[in-house]
Amino acid sequence: MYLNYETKPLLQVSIPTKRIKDDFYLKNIEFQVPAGYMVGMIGKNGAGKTSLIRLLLGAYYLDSGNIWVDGYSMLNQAKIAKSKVGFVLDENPFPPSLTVQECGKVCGIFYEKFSMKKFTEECVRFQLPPKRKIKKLSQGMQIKFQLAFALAADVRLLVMDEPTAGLDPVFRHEFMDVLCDFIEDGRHSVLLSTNVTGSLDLIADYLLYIENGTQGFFLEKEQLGDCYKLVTGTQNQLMCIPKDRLIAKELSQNHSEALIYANGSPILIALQELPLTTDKLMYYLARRGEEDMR
Amino acid sequence: MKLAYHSFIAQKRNAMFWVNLLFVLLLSAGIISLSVFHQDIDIYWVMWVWFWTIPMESYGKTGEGIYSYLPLDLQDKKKIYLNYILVMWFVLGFAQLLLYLFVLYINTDAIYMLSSTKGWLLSVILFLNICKFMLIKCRSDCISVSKRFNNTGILCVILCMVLILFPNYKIGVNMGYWIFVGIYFLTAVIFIVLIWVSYVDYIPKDFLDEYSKEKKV
Amino acid sequence: MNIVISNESSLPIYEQIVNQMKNELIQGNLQEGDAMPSIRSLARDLQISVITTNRAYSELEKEGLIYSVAGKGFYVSHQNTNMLKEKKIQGIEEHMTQLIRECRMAQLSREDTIKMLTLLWEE
Repeated sequence: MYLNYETKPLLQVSIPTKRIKDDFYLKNIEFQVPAGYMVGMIGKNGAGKTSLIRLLLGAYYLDSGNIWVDGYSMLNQAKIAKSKVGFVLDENPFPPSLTVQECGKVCGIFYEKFSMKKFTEECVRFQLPPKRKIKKLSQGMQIKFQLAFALAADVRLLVMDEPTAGLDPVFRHEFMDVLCDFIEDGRHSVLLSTNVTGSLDLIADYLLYIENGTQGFFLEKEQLGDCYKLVTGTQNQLMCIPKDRLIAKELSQNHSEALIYANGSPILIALQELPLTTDKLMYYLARRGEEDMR
Repeated sequence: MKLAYHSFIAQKRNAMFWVNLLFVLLLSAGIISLSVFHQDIDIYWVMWVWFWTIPMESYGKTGEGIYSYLPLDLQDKKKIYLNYILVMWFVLGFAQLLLYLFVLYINTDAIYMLSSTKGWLLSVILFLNICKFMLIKCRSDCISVSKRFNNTGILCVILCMVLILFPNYKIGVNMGYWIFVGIYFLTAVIFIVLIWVSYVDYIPKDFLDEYSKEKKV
Repeated sequence: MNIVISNESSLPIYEQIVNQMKNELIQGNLQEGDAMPSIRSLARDLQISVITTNRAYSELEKEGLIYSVAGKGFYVSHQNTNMLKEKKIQGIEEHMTQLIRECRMAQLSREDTIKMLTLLWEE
């Protein structure tokens, strides 16, 4: 109630199906992100995270369904919708032979609210040399540049693909700081895909899990504990977990763990609960249905 | 220089030259009118950068260009691609013109040879380059119809190969020239049509149905 | 006020906040009527989820330690610090029971344990 200043979701996604490749589809993806929150997208490599991000950014066409940003449809109001979404991609798509300043000038004109003054300020804040060519920027600077551009374009939603991969801890901290600033006013949201899940454990409000092109779940992070539990016990105890409760287990002589559904048939044995990190969650979910071999 | 000037005057009745000049003038006029068209982008410099740098580089390693991410609607994209085609066309004409001037400067007679053989090859090479750029662009932009473009592209390339291998020595000067002019126009027309079609919301229905059937199975 | 969040702790983050806020109350760093930091600014400072922070605040609200004023934020309510202290003591008792159990496991006598405690206390 004190969190939401606006009632309509900032991002609304409904994709029944989208063909990416002949043998790869995005299916049944449906979620809403209110303004002012951070969404972490997780999933194995090749699960479809990047494809989904390209769809969200309007770089791919929708086969069916729709995406709304701040109420504007990506289908027939693409221009307005896209001008409200900023992107920070693993591979910087900006023209490599332009300088930082030129890039702001040339690409900024397409954004209604783009301010060159703000862009220059952001460049100063991120210590981006305005006269340097994009291709001469380091990986970290490429990320900063994209971030500066998005902030100068006054976007409402930032969509990021693996932004922190390959960055040093100092920069990662700075980066998270910028994101926290961004969402603090409750009008802006962030959706980022990452494999560095450690940072998500604290900061993410929602988790979106993508598995084989489908949406595994979209949950408030606080609700994770209501759905999944990570437990430990002796091998024998873990063997007794009913099939319909068990997601995956890892047994060894000295330490055994299992991820179970929080609701379902009762478990009689007293198992000890462990804190559930995003890392562990992903690991066990990926191994769902696998028989333990060890 | 004097010689060049005189040769230039002497050759002024040469239809080839005038047609080329006409191209350049027409295209210049086209570009100027396009810049009027783009009133919202009033910086000529911006236009210039868009024309020269971005189309060449915007594909990126994965073929995902900046075009795809910026808030452009279909109309904007069409405009940019059409501009691009016109400019490439312009370059083609301009290169030809320069080549003619150069040849005129050296030897007035060589122009006949050039227009039939080397000029031909030059335009084919340029054409291939445009093919390449446009293909990458089409592929990255609309995955659903990329297959079709692939095929069209391959056809274009085959056509060019045939033209290159064609024993053009036997073709008369005028014949060679008109074939060149023909290709010149055809290139532009083909690409304008291709780009237009790719952005009309044309995803073949049977195409999709087929995939959804597959999916259900 | 200084709040420390640990990722490694087995306690959920919202509980860490709740506990530390309670400590602040017991120590008197937070007085009745004091405005609490807003949910968003606290989340921002700690670099944690807004929803988590919200959960911590509603937990504190449920226990009657803070109250909300619509459109303004949260304030510290009239404190029954004694009650909080009692609860704290209860917690300490639990810890001690655990400690005693462990001492027995290590076969330490009562005297030895007390001696150790006094020694450590004075340090």
